[in-house]
Amino acid sequence: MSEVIVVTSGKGGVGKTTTTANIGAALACQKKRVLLIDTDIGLRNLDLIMGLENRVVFNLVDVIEESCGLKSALVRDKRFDTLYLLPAAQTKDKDAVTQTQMKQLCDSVRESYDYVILDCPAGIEQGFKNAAAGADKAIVVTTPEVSAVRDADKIIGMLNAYGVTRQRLLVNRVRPDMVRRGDMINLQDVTDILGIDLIGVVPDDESVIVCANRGEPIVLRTKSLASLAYQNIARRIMGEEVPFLELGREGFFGKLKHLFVREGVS
Amino acid sequence: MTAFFNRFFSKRQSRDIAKERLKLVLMGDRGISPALLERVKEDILRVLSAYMEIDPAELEIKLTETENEEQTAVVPALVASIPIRKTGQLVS
Amino acid sequence: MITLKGSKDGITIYIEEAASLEAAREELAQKLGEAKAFFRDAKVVIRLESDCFSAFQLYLLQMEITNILEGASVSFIQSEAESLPKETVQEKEMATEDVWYRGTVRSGQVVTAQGNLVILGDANPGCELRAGGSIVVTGTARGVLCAGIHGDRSAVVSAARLAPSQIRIADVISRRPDGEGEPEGFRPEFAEIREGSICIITK
Repeated sequence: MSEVIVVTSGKGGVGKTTTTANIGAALACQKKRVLLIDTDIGLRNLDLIMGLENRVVFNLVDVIEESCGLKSALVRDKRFDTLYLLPAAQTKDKDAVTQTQMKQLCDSVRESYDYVILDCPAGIEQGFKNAAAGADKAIVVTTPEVSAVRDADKIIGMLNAYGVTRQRLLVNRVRPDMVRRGDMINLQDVTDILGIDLIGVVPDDESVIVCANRGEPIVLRTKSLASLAYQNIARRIMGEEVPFLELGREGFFGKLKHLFVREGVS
Repeated sequence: MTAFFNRFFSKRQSRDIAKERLKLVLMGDRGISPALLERVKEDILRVLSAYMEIDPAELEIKLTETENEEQTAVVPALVASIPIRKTGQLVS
Repeated sequence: MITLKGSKDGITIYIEEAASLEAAREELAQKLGEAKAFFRDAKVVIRLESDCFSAFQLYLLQMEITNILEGASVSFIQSEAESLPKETVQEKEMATEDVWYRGTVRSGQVVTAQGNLVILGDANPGCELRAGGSIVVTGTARGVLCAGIHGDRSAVVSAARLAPSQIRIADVISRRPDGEGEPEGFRPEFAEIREGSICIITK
């Protein structure tokens, strides 16, 4: 039943790490056992976003080189008992791990968790290949920008070549006001072009940055729209049917009172 | 005020321009997809296996760019690296 | 003209004045040839004390070394490019192996000393300082500070502003408590093991 999911994007800066941290927290909220693995060796950040940076003693490379056991390298989240992090090494480089080792690691941990989520580095080099090698499924993160969509297309092709054909798309940082003005590619456009199913859409939300600053998951902020989006994504990962947030589909002079959200089938 | 009128009359929305440009550029990008390359790889393996022993894991094939013979343009090129394990029939 | 020095991290080849490329290659072939087996697969750093070689000549030298030492990884350092003065470079190689490091140690960098380690500057978050003996940072110490890595429980960690994410002394680890901010301003502190756990003492 357990699944290994890679969160990837090709382009950097579209929010892979934030997505990984928050989907992890949202799944843990639902009492799932979750392990997040930061595979961005040399540029580790997942620990920082989760507020666990001071607790990191050992890391992914230590585990793979067998200089410590898996248990001693895992960092348990402060807030969720069922959420664990295996941090990346900061002082090694990407070639410290091979695809085979990554796959073996994923296979050895999957029994103990409901979901293993791999935070993939940007780019299409070794780090991406390692993460893809270990995964059953992928969440492709993009933003509604031409460069991010193009890179997402490339990554989808590469995932197919690696046999990770179960892919879902996450469109991050959508700005409803710009969509309404016709100055942002909308969801329909993105899914038309990329041709994979949507797992969720996350609005551009200041609280994402505020939470990252504090090292807290946004999922705990019930009033934030992004929080709701992540919780919906978690439920979709668990197989529930949850309608998508409708962001900015109002026409010209759209009803101002609906400026923010309307829940409904898009 | 001008900006306001522009939106209604002359300028196309940037969303549409983005969509068009993306579609065009992806057509180029997808020319030979990784999935297609995998198929090419399988075919090459199948053909060559009749003559020599090749480790499928070692076979590497990728699309790159190279200059054409007249050095006037950059053209796509298929580069394959196929380490041979044993030549068998080929030698005799 | 050419001196070889081995350390735990690999070999450093010092090339001082060179009469010609040919002479340098010959001497390298001879000196490295003698120690070939010993240096196999080593990490080689060539430290140039003069700028008498062109980039192409350096490339030839590099090929030469790679040919002699199979599997070695070879890199060059022009000595001017390093902020370390020459004496401290040699100090690194000395028997006590205390290390003086001048400059900021940044995220992802590891500075290791077999003896004591002195950082003349800051240690940034995400870096790692490792010393067989004690660690002294003259500026702000963030990151992971590991003293007594070979088991010396009497080692201490000291900084003008001590704000690390972790301190490890020998086999004892302590991390910064959640929610605790950094100390304001500079106030020299040191950390040592007392009754089995790491204590921070303000002078």
